[in-house]
Amino acid sequence: MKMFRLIFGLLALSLVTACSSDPDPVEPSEDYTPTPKPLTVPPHF
Amino acid sequence: MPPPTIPADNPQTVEGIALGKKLFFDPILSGDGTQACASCHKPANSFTDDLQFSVGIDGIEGTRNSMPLFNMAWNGNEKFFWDGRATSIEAQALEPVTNPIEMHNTWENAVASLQGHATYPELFYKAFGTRNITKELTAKAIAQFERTLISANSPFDKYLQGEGTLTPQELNGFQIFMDETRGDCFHCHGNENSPLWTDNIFHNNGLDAIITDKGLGNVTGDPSQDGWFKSPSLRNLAYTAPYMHDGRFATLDEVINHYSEGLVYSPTIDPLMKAVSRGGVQLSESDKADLKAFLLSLSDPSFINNPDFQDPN
Repeated sequence: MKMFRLIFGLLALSLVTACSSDPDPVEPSEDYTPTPKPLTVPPHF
Repeated sequence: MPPPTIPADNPQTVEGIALGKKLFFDPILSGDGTQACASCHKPANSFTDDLQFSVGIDGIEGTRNSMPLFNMAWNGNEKFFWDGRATSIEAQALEPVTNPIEMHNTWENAVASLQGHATYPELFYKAFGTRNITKELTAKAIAQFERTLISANSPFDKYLQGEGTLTPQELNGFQIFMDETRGDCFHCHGNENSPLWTDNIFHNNGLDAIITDKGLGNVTGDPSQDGWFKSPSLRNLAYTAPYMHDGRFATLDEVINHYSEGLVYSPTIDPLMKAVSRGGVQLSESDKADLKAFLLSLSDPSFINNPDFQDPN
C-alpha cells in the first residue's frame, strides 16, 4: 500500500510539473524582451 | 529641434518595427483583403499617392488628400490627420481600418484575421511578448514602423551640413521663401533651423471664401477654427502631388500661384495671410521659378528609395 501511494504521488507530482512548465500561448511572457531599436536621429535634427 | 516623441508604452524595437512594416504593407486589415495602408501611402510618393482623393475598398473616394508620411516622430503637438483629430500615431493608425470609405472593416474582423494567420501570432509574440493580438498592439506596431520613416537627406539637407551645394536659383529661391516682402513662407513652413519644413499646426491659408470643410473647427467645435488645416511639410514635394488638404492643385506651380495671386478672404483666414487684401504676395515669374527650384531641393530621393521602407511581403 505504501508503495502504491508513493508511485501514485510521484505520478501526480510529475503531472503537475509537466502542466505548469507548459507556456501559455496567449499570455504575455514576463521573461521575453524584444530588442530595443532607438531612432537614428539625423545630425541636423 | 526637440527629441523625437516615443511613447513610454510603445518603445521602438527591432521586432515591433518589422511587424509594423509587414502590417503596413499587408491588405489583411481591410474588409475584403484588398487594401493596405500602403495602398494610399506608397513609398514612391513619399507615402502618399498621386490621386486627389484616395479610393477605398468599395470604390468610394475620400474627401481629403492622402497625407505623406515622414518625420512623424517630430510632430510636436501630437495632432495627426489634416484636422488634427488623432492625438498620437497609434490613435491615427486605428482609424482607417474602420473608416467606411477606406478599409471598411471592423477591428474584431481584422484582429480575427491576424489571429488566424500562419505567422502573425508569432510575430506579435516576438514584438510584444504575447500571441493575443489586439487592435492596440496592431496600431502600436504600425506606429513603430511609421516613426522610422525619417527623411533628412535632400540636396538642401546636404547643403546645410556642408556636404553639397545648391544652384544660384535654388539659393535665391530660399531667400524669397524667407523674405516677408516676397514669398513669406517661413512662418508656417520653417527655416534652415527647423528642418521639418512645417510648423505642424493649423491655418486657414486663404483657399475659399466659403468654408465647406471645417477642418480643425469640426474637431474642436470652435467656429473660429473653421477651415484650419495642418501645414504640410514642404519636404518631398517632387513626389507628393496633388497638393492641399483637398488635393485641388495638381502642380507646384498652381500652389505658388495661389499664394502669389489667388488668396481669398474668409472670416477665419490666418493673420499670416497678410497679403490677402491684394490677392497674394505678387511674385514675379522669375521669383516663382526660383522659389519652385528651392522647394524641389527639399525632396529626398534616398527616402523614397530606402530599402528599409519597401514592401516586405
